[in-house]
Amino acid sequence: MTAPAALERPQSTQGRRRRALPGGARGLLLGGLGLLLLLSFVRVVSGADDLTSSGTAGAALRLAVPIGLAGLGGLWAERAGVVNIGLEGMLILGTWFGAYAGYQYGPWAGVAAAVAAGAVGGLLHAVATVSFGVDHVVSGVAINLLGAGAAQYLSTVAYDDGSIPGAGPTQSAIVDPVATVSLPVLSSGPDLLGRLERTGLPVLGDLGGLLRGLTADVSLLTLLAVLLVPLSVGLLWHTAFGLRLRAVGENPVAADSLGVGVYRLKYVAVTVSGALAGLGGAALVIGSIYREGQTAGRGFIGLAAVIFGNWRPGGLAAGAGLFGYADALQLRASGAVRALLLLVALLLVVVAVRQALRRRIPLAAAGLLLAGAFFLWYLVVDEVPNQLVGFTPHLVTLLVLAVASQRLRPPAADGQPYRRGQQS
Amino acid sequence: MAGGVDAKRTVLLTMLVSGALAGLVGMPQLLGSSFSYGLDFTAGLGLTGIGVALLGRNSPVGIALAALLFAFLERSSSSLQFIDVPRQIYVIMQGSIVLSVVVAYEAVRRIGVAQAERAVRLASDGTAA
Repeated sequence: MTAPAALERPQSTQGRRRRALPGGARGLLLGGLGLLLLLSFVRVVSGADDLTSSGTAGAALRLAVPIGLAGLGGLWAERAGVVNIGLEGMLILGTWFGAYAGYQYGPWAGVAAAVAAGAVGGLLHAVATVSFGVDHVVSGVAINLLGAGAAQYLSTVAYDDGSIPGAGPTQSAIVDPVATVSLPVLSSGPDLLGRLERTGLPVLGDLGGLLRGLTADVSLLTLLAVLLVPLSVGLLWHTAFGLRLRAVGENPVAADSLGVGVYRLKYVAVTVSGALAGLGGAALVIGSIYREGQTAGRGFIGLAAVIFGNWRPGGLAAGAGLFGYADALQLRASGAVRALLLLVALLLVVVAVRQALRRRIPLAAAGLLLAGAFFLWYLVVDEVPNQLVGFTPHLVTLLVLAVASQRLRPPAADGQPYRRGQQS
Repeated sequence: MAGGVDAKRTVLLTMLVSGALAGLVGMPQLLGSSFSYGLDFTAGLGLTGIGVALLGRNSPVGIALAALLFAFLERSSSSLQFIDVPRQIYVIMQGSIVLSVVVAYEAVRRIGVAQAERAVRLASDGTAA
């Protein structure tokens, strides 16, 4: 009688874990549909057409790419149990080398150089944290200093003599862009989505605008970055390599006892992490220039996106998209920002209703109260200061952390040093 | 609540103190030299501060010494330009100091542990024989 019971228990816990992926995909679809309806409603009510225009959507995608790539880098490292605060430094290394090689040898050479530079940064982090067991945050901070310092120093050395036109001690010359592609028929040529957008119909017009923004004139680099998300899912969740890598992040002692090369996998993960961050740096400079301080904390925002997305690529992409969207709206259509207040109020109502259905009355009441405050704000003001929008994504991340931190689950051995033969 | 210490309350208190101390960062500049607020205040100081704290091994005296070292590097870096070295190299120096010092701490700690283990082994061998 005891044997079946003992067999049953592990199965049921496994079932609970397994459900996350297909359920997540369905939830994503439903959530997206709900968000589209909300956005459409807000656009029609407030008349802020930029909220769902193809221009905003395209800019959001472009701005989300560096954040998403930095986030993917963070995801790879943290899944193997290494906290990578040094992403910002690796991103800066990527921007500098991407711009330098990109100007000299063409954009794709720049991309390669950026990836290599980021990978070197990652390797350094791996040496410090894996081989020497240094505290991960310490090493990361040092690498941030090193990355920023190296870029400043190299700029002075390479550009200060004025041999390259347009370049100076704090910026590089313009790098050629890579080719762009559009979805045939739908967003180029007959441009069906564009026509749909121009009709301005509720929901359909919004859908057309958003989809056209995401599919028209997309640079190949952006496409590569977007494809890296499903690729990471496939590699980390559907191969033996990925299983071992994640096992190292959950329980290195157990993984080691089963013959997994813990050090080797950590090295691979952190180096890939740096390479991804370097690619994110390339995404910032290809078709543009390297400027001192242009990363502006995107590496840290990428880490926030990892936490926002509960250490999963899909959630991370959603987080990066959110940051990119807020950035795009602030840059392109600061007038539409006021409409965001209405959107936030409606979203809070949705959250409050969901909490109420789960009988969490205090949370629901707080949500409703906040929603009311935001609605009042929307009615009272004509314009929201731009600076406020700049930190909207950060505010949202804080809110998500505050509300969902009970359900967030980082890799169990995240940030812990591991030494073979020592229980740590 | 082990040992009667209220963990949550302590964390809350330390975060409050930590934030209050960090809030003082701009004061010397504001009250000592510029006398008006500017957007470029404390550019990147927060992150450098983490590096300083780690370099000082999280001890108040060590942090004071580490801060002195970092400030010295930054201020004296302009003299490098007399010998045609870009002064930005001081940031690289700060980064490599932090990295190499923590690696050295760790190496020293490991050697200490290994020595202690050997001493214990020798002692136990002695009693066994």
